[in-house]
Amino acid sequence: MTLKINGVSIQETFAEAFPMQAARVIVTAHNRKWVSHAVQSVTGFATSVIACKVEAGLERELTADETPDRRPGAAILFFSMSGSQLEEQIRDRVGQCLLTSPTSAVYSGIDEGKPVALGKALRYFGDGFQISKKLDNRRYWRIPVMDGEFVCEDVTHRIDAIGGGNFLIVARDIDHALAAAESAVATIHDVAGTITPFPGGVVRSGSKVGSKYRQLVASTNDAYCPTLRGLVATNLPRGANTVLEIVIDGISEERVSQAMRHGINAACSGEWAAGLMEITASNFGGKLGKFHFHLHEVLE
Amino acid sequence: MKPRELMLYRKVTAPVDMSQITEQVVRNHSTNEVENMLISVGREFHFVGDLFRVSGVRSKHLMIANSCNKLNRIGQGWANGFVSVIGDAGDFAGHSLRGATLEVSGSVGAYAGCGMKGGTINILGNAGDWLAAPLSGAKLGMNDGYIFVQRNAGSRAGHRMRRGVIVVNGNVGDGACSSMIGGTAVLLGDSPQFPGTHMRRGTIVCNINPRLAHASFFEQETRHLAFFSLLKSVIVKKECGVDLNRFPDLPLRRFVGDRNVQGMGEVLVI
Repeated sequence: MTLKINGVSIQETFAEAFPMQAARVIVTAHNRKWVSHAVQSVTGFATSVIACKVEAGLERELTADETPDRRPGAAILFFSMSGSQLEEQIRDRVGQCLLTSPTSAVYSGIDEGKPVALGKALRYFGDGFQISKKLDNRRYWRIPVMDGEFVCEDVTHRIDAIGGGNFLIVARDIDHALAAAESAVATIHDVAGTITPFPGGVVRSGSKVGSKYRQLVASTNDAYCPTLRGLVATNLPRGANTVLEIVIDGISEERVSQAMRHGINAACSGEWAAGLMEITASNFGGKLGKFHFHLHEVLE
Repeated sequence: MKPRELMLYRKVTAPVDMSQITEQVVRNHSTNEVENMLISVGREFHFVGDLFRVSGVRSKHLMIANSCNKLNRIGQGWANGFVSVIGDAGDFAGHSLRGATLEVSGSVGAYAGCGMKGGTINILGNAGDWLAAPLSGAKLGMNDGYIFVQRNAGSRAGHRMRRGVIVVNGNVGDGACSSMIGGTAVLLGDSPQFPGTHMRRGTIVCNINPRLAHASFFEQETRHLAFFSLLKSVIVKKECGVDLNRFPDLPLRRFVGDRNVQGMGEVLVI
């Protein structure tokens, strides 16, 4: 069956995704500028679990009415392959990037699941001068710091989630590919419970499992590299010169599916669609990840 | 379905121990069974039916109508449900409350919320002395939960309070939050006299400069505190009739003490 959106062919294939653990943290600050600094810092070097151990991103910005302390804030999602790794990463990142960020405060963004220490681990920085406050069965820590105090909720929680939902934008040239990818990422950003952890939400270095070098677990996805056409078996249609991948992590199968649907539709709905050749997805033959997002089903 | 209702129809002059009207009784006993229960009235025992008209069905909601200040220990130990009192309540209202909500349309006597471990007490009138304080001989006062007093509270409110939040919309008597160990007290009336004497930890929020023992409290410069914004939003969400939003997020004056006992408590003036 051939499916096309705005003339762009949607391949009958699937994205292969993996079970992950996710936690949401809410950060607030004195103004939007310092919220941005905090978010940028805590989500830095968090594109892929392969080397970063965690994937993190801004889920959405929060208005003062939506945050616990009525200051501007942001919801940040963290994803990792194991609970213990996630806990370790959150503790270190909150400690090094949010505790240090002027005027910041940190709160839990998920109330169910297994607890992940926030203030519970960081309170010792207060050297005995930290203050515990329990409001509505939530414990908060007030840790004295040089700009006043750092308010941090005792714990957040981690839940089962999904990482690695994806689709590939195959285009004639980089301009059309970037325009389509940017539009897709902007739309996915509106789907609550999802993030696109790569730079600007886009990956250019999609990978395959394994390598000719034994020490590498992943290497370049040669079937989609335009410069390897003629050297290896290629999956690129004639005339395709650029492929960009959008990777989506989400807190549920439904959210990832929704994000893929919105993302693909946005990528194919604009003047740049004339430069797109197809939308496909990355998988490993279905052997590695237990979640399979078939593009045609996702778009139904 | 009408909740279980106990309407006082006789004038009582001796203290009535209402602690025997437990949530299990209200939830599981029939009207007849409740009427035939014995409760202590002064030195005597009376049937509930001798004092109250019992109506309604088995419920998590207890309403005590025509209540008076001789009815002690209303809501003692309740972990769930809702107790509403139409009229005044006596001493020890909400004693050891563990999670239920107690609402009193009138005033309450002494020791309201003593030994409280959770839940909410909303007093629309005045509260007597020793609000949220420990019982004689006990070390800790209120240990969790919320108490809202819409009018005034007597002396020693929050004495040895350990955790939880009390909000008094009116004035408090002398010695509020003395020897406080933790928790938060928001006192919105006229300048309290010597609040927080011998406090070790905890937070007292006042809207007018309190009369502090200045030698033992150190004044810091004014500053914004994210915690106060958080506290305000939590209290406002409770819809307790105390409008903290009228206090804008301006810098607060902060006093720390009581240094006489090496305390690290704080008094915030909003």
